[in-house]
Amino acid sequence: MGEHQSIGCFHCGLPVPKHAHFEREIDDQLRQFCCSGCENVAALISGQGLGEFYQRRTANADRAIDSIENLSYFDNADLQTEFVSDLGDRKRAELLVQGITCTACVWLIEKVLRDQQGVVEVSVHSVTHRLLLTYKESETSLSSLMAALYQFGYRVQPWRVSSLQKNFERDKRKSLKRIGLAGFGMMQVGMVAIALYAGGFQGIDDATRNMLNWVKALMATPVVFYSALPFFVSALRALKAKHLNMDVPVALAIGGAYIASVVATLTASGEVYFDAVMMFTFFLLIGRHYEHQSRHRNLMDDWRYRAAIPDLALVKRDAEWAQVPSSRLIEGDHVRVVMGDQIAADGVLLQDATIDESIFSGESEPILKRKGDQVFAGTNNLGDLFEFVVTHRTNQSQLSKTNDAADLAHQHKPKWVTIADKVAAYFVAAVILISVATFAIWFQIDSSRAFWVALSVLVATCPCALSLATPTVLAAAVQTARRHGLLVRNSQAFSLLSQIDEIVFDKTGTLTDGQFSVTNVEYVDESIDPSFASALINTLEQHSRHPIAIALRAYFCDSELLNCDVTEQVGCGVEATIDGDVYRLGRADWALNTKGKQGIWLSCNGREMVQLFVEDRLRDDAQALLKSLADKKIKVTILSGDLQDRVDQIAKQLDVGKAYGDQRPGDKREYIAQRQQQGAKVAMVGDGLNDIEVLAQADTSVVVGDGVDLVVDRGDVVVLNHRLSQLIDLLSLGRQTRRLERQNIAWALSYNLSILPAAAAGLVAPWAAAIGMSLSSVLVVANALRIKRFKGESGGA
Amino acid sequence: MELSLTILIPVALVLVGLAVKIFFWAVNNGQYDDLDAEASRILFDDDVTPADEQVKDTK
Repeated sequence: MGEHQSIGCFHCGLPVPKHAHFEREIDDQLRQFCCSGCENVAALISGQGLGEFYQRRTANADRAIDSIENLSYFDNADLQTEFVSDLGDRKRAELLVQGITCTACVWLIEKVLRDQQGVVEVSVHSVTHRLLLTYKESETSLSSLMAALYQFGYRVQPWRVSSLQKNFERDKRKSLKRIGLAGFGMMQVGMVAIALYAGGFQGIDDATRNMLNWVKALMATPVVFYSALPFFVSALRALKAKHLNMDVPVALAIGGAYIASVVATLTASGEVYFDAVMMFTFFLLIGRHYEHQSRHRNLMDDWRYRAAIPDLALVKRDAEWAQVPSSRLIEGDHVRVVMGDQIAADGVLLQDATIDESIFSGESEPILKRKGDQVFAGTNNLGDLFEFVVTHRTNQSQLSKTNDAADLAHQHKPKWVTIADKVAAYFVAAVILISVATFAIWFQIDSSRAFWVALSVLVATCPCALSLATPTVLAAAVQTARRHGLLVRNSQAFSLLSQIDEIVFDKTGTLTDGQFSVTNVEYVDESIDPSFASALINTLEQHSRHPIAIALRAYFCDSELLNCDVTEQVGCGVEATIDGDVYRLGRADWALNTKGKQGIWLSCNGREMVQLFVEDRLRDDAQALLKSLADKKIKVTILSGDLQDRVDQIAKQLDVGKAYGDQRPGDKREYIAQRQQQGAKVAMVGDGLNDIEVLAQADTSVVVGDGVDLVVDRGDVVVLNHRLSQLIDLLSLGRQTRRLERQNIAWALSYNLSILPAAAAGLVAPWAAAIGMSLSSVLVVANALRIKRFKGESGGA
Repeated sequence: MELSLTILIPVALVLVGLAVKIFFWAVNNGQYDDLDAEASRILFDDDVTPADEQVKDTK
């Protein structure tokens, strides 16, 4: 426990601010805290004799919440209909608890709630963080129970699950029942089988044996028709679509063996295979269950991101603050966010604030934001109370756009997954043919064994693992990338990134952070009045969104504004006519109408007036990124729409050999196309604002936002946390994805090919074949999940 | 022999049916929903804390 003291807050583990003095004796030891909230929570926990929480926990708790909002809202009967069910004299609420870090939290929450008056039953789900709370309304209210949890630093909100999650839960229960029934059936049939074997040695009369076979058939029937039903349904669906999937051979094996056995029982002749049928079903179901469970966990991770929008927001309505459901926020609303709360919509700050944007960036480092900066829905207020004005309502927020993009990526099936599906279909056809051939050959050799040998072949060589090999790796890789602040919109990007030869960078907003500063102003025309020139520049740039315009506007913001109409020439500059004189502000060749001059100029009727010097800042991590790319022997080219001399300057700083300025989007696209014709695989990294066609031309593309506008609907990969060095992580993640895919395919293929001769030779019993097939699938899934342990190289996250 | 079988086998079948029924009930009742917390729960309730005694008092 000593290590908590030295690293940070005893309760939540965050660093203790330098000048903070939050100390208290907990369990006879002086502990330090990061804030009074955590201090009080720790005192409360140990004061109630619940100090064991600190010994039981395996992860630090979430930072405590300072204030308890108006929870009485949750006692509202209308609102309660959504998540509270009436059980006569008691009520049961379904809630989502935030702040659970390990099972010790589960223990603490249950203990705290059981201590409350009127609580009948409490249970907390450690994976989904769902709290089922049964209480007597005559003795307590939901809000007071919620308040009790808030005191311990857990926030609670109504449990609303996506239909997807509900389906998963229903499927899980069904699958458990199927496994259970198959297990019972398998054991019972096994017992009868022992009686028959014993009979085989000691002698048994035909009537008894036939009766025992009937018993077996009786027990096998519900297993085949209930437990094995999903195999038949899936196989039928595939056949209807004139396609072969993994379930076709399985259904054939189970169905064939069952029918053959029933016929044998009816006619009282021949072999019965009920035991084999049962074991098949049982082991296959278990394998499939584990596979579903791990996929479910994947989904749950994703789903947490969706839970990040709070239910209620504190909004100013008619000069009064009121709790309003987040979904009812509209643009222009004033919203207040207390410490520890999540932000309900995108907006602009009215005060400075400390924000945790880890939901986008994967980095939990608090970010200081100034008045006027953007805040995003789903991010967390770590500092004091602040207010903001809503600019995008909840369902149009960055978070919801990001989630939509992620959904699309999940639905999008990469090309080679489709190829793998096709290969697997051929494989299945081959398996069926081989099984038939095996049956025919064994029928000649030993007709009594022919049937079960064919069954073994059918099951053992089923390419389940092969079809799982790539999709599982990709799903896990997309998840992992998201945790590192990378939104993968097209999972194909992973394999393309691992083969890339050349990366083309855009300059402005990509290698540089998109912010310019004015370094020098030179009044070339000495007759001009500087205050008039300043006012003119300020006016001209007032409405342009170009980064240079923003810099100039900021530099001359103290000057007055002139009254005139301004037109913008995209890619050149801005223009206005005052008293018959045409003033232009922009690039030299346009403003001065001459070639050979560089820089930014203010001109009057084409005559030089003022030259402006601006400089853009390199991103902090650009240098490190390019060095690491050079180590990896990946070529780097800079293509920029900016002036050649400024591009050269940046290229020199970064030690990049090939850098071209004055590139229009069409030029950039042409360059990439030309390189591709020479056989190079080219990735494009841009800011996604004015280079869409370039991004599309490249083999794969990465979009790095500049922190103001997060572009999430372009490019194959979006760097959500604006850190360029995240590209290094992306590249190594791509390589690891590729490696795991290869391992999986190699394993699945070699398993299938090596078991085939053994099964055909009659060396593999049907139940062993079922275990082998299930195990190889589970192995493939487990291998895929290894990618989740990926730790970034760039030092982020 | 024949007689005992004709009695014992139906008895066994009924018992299996009962076991399956109980298992289905348990699954539907949500008892298998969270196996992770159940694994730790046995550790939690082992020792008596003041909070535990309080719970008993109120009941």
